Amino acid sequence: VRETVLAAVCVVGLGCQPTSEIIVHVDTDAPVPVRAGAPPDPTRPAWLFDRLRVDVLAGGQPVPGGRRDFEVDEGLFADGRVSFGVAPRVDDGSVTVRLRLFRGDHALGGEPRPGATLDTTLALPSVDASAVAHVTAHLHVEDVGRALGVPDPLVPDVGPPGPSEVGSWPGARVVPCTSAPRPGEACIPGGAYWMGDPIIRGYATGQDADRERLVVLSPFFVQLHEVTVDDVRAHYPQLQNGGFLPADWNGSSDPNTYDSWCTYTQMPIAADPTDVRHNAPANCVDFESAERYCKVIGGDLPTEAQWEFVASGRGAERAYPWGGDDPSCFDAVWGRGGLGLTLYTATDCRADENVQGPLAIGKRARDRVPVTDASGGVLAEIVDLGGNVSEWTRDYFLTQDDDYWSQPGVYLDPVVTTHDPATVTQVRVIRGGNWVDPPIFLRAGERRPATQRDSVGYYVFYEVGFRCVRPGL
Amino acid sequence: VGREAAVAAALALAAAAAACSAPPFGEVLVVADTDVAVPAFAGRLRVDLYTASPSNDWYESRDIATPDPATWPLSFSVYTDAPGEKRVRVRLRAYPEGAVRDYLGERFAPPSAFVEPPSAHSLDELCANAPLLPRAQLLTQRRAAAPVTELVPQADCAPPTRAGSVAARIDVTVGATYRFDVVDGSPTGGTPHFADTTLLLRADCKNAATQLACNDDRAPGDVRSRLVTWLDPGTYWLVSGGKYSNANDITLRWDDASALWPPAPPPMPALPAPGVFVPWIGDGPPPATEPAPGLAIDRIVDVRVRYGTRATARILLGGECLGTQADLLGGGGASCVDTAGVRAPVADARLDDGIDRGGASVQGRWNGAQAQPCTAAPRAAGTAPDGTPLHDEEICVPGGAFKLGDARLVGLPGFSAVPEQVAVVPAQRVDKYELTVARYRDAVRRGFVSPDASPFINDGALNWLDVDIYSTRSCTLSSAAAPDREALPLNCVSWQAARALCQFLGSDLATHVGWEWAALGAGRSGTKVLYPWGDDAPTCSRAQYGRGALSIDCALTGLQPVAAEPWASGDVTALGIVGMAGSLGEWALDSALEYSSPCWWQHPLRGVGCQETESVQRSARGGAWGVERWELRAAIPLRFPPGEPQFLQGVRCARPGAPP
Repeated sequence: VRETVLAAVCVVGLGCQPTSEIIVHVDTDAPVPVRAGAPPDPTRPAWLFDRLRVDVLAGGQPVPGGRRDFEVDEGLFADGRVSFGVAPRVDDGSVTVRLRLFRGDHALGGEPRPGATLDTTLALPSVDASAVAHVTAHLHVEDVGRALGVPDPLVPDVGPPGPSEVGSWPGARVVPCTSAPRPGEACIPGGAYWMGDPIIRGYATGQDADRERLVVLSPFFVQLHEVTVDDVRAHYPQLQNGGFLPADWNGSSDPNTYDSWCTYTQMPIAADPTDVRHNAPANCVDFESAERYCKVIGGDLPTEAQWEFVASGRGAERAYPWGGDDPSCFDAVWGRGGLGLTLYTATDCRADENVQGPLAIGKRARDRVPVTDASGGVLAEIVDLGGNVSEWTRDYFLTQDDDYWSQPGVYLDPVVTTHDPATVTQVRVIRGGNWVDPPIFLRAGERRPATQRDSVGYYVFYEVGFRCVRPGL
Repeated sequence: VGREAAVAAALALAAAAAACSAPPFGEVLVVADTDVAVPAFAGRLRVDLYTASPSNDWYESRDIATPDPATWPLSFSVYTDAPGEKRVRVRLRAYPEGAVRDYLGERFAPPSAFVEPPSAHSLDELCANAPLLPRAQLLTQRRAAAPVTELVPQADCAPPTRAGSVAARIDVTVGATYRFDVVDGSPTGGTPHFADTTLLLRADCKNAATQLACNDDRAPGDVRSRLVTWLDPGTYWLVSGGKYSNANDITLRWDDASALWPPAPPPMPALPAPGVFVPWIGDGPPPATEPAPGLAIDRIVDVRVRYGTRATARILLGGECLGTQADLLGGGGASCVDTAGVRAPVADARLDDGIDRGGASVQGRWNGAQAQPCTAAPRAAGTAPDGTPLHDEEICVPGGAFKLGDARLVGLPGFSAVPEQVAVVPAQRVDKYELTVARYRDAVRRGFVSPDASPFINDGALNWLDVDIYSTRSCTLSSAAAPDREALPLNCVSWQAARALCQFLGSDLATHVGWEWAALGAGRSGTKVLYPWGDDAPTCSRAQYGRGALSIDCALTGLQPVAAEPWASGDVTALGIVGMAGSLGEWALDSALEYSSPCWWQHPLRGVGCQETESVQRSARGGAWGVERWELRAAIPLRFPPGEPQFLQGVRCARPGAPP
C-alpha cells in the first residue's frame, strides 16, 4: 500500500512473531511525479524517478518475501508516508536494507539499471525487545550510479525525518534563457534528463545507446529547422572565405550517383521559395563546414546531449520526437532511399521506383517538437529532428561504454572534445535519422559515428545536414 | 458538462475509506483484482472515467504502477455530491510496465476476418477472374506457386521459365506503342530470386498460341519484366508469373511508352484519420499514451452511484481477456468479460451494500499461464541401423502464456517484432537438435520421398564463402554418407520438404508461436529473454554465427555438427534445446506476415497464428551460421519464400505434448 508502507518482515521464520520493529523512513531530493491527482503544471521540471525498490537482507542474503516495489510521488514524500517496518525475529545486527530509487518504465520489467539508480544499503540498528525504533534514509541525486553502503552498510539517521527535501535537487530546475531568441530559434531552458534509450541495444555493433546517465544542461537556443539551402546562400560570401564546401547538386536525379541527392547548387534556380532547391536542408556538408557555418552566425553545433534533450522532449523521455510509436510515412521523412541493399536502408516510403531524397523542411505531420510558454501555448515548433537529414553534433564519437560516458554521478553540460586516439580518422557523432533510414535511426537516443570530412567507411554525406545552437545565458 | 456537476472520482488505495469518508455523499468503492501474474502481465492499472453514455465525456484518467504483488486488489472510490443517481463509465486496463502506444484517439477496430488474396490454380480460373487493368494504374495480384499457363519461346523468354499465374485484361482504345511493367514482385528486397518474373501479352487469355510478346528480364541485373510494343485498338491479356515454385504478389502497370518512367510520385495523400477522440473535460491535457491493446486486459463497466448510499463493486480483470480490446464507442460499448475474443455489451457493475475492500487477491490463478506438462513421453535418442546417432531426441516444453514479439525490436521494417500480443501455448515435444543429415538419410531409407527437388545435394567440398544464399556449395547433404556430413544439420531444404519430412517422422514443423515460446519463454518463470540462453550478448564461442562470407565476425569455418562444443552448451535454452539462436534458421508452420496484419489477430490468446495456403513467405525462426550477430535475437520474425531452399535454413520438428 502506498501511504504507509508497512512490510513486517520476519527475518527468520518460526511463526513470525516479531518482538521489536524498526520503522525505516525514506526521503530524497529527487524530482518525482506530482502528488497523485494534482493538476499538471507545465512549468515544473520533469520527474526523473518514480519507483522505490526495497530489499531486506539478513547476513547479506535476501529474505524470503523481503522485496517490495512501490510507486512514489511528491505527496507521499511530502506527507512523510514513505516508510516501512522491519521486524527482525533475531536481532544479531546483520539485517540490512537496500533501497533503490529509479525510473520504472526504463527498467523494462527487469532490474533497475545501475547507472540510473539511487542505490543505498543501510544497516538496521539493534532494538530492545518490544520496542519500536525509527530511522531515516536519505537518497541524493548526486549519488546516482554509485552503490552506497557496499561493502559496508551505511548507518541511517536515527529518528523520523524532518520536512521532506523531495524535488529540491537544483539540477532539475528549469533555467530560462536570459535573452530573447532570434528569429528561427527557440529557447531550450536548462534542466535535467536521462540521456540514452533502453531499447537501443543489440542492433549495430558498437552503437548501443541503452546505458543511461543523468545529464544537466544549461539553457541554449536551438534552430527550429535544419540549415537550408537558402540559409547557406544568404551567408555564402562569409562562408567561402572560411573554406565552406557544400558539395554541389549534379543536376541529375540519377539514383546511382551520390551528388544527385545534394540539395545545394550554384546553378541558377527558380525563385519559387517552395522549391526544394530553396527550402530543403543543406546536406553534403562535412563537419568542418557545418561548424564554420554555425560559428559565422554566432553559434556552434549542438552537443550530443543538447540534441537528445530537445528530441526526447526535455525530460519527457520520448522515444521519438513525437512519442513512442514507430512513424508512418506521414509522420516523418524516412524510408525514401534504397540505393544500397543493406539492412539499414529502407524503401517503405518510396513511391514506385523513385529514390526520393530529402524534403523541404517541416513537411511531415508528427516530426515536430512544440516549444510552449508557461501556460502551455505553442510558441514555435522544432521540426525534422527525427527524419529528413541526420545532423552533425560537436562531439567526437566514443562508445557508450567508454570511460567518458560511463561514470557514476551527474553529467553537467557534457561534450567530447578530444577524439578517440584508437581511431585514425576523426569521427564525430551524427544524431537523428534521415530520408534513407528505417525508423530505428529516428529515435532520439540513436547515435552514429561519421567521419568528419568525407564518407569513407561511414555514412554517405548526402544523408547528413546540421542545425546550430547558441548559449542561452 | 461541468466538472462539479459530473460525478467526481477519487482514487486512493487501501485507506480510501478514511481519505474519502463523506457520509452524505453517495459512494461506490470499486475493487479491481486480477488473476494474472503481477507484475509480469499486470504491472500497471489504467483507470479512465467517463460520464455515462450517450455523451461519454472523458473526465478522469489515472495510471497506477502496481509493481508489487501486494498492491492487488486495488480500490478507489467513485462518489457523487449531488442528490439522485449518477452513472459513471469506468474503464480498467491492466497491462505490463512499458507496454503503451501513443494515444491518437480511440482506435478500436473490429477484428476483420483475414482473407487470403485469391490465386488461380487453373487456366480457366485464371482467365475467368482476370480483372481489367486501366492504363497508368497499379494492380497487385497473387500468383500461386504452381504454373497454370504455357509460354511460347520468344525474345529472352524460354522454358523452363514458368509462366503465368496472374492475368489482367487490357483495353486499348488508341493504336500506339505501350509499355507494360512488372513494377514489383513481392517479396522483393532486391534479391533477384524472389521477384524473377516473366510477362507476356496475349490476344486470348486462354490460348498460349496467341502470344504477342514476352519478356523475362527487364535489363541485366533487373529480373523484373517489361514489354514495349505497338498495339492496335482492341482487348488484350497481360499474363505474368514468376520463375520459381513460390507464390508472389505481382504488381502490374501499363502506360503509353512515351510517358515518364518512373512515373512522378503521386501526391502525398491526406493524413489518414486517426482514432476517434473522446471529448476530454479533465484537468490539463489528456494522457499522451494508452496501454498496448495486445497486452492489456481491457474491461468497461458502468457504476451507478446513488446519493446517500455506499456500496462496493468488485471487478475481476481476467487473464482470458488478455489482448481482447474493449470497444468504448461502438453500440453503447463492449468489453471482454471472461472469454478471449468475445466482447459483451457494457453492463452495470453489481453492487454490494457497504464498503468492503476485503478479500485476498486471486492473482496468479489464471490457468492459461500455468505450466501445462507433457502427457506423452518425449522420444529418446535413437541410432541408425549402422549405429550412427540420429540426434533425434525430444525435449518436453511445458505450455504457458507469454508475450509474442518484443517491444525492444522496433523500427526495422521486416524485422520489427511489434505489436506484441499475449499467446497461450500448449505443451509440445520439440527436437533437441536441428534435423541432421544422418537423420534425413535414415528417413529416406525408411521410405521418405521429398515432395520437391530439395534438400539439395552437394557432392563437392563444403564451401562457406558464398554470399548468395542460394548457392549449393554450402549444402550439407551428400549423395553418399560421409564422415564429415552426417552430424551436420540439414539445410537447402524447402518449407514444403521440411514439413513433409517432419510429418513422415511423426511430428510437424513448430508453430511460429510455439517456437518462440520454446526459445525465449519456457522454463524462465515468466520473464522473456533476448536470446535462448538469456540476455547476454552472443559471442563466437556461444553460438554459431558470423562464420561465412555474409558476416565474418567469427571463424570462417561454417556449420559445425549439431552437438559440437562449445556451442552445444552455449546456444541452449533453459530446457536444453540446442541451436535455436545460431547454426541454422528453422522453418516454422505459419505465414510470415507483419505482426500488424489482421492475420495474426484472428484468434486472440489461445489461437494466435497466421496461416495461408499460397504463402508468399513462411516464418523462418532463429539466426544462422552466416548471419550478423544482431540477427540472433530470437524474437525477430524472419521470413523466406517457402519454395526456395537455401543454405541458412534448416529443420527442427515439434509435436504436441499430448498423445495424438
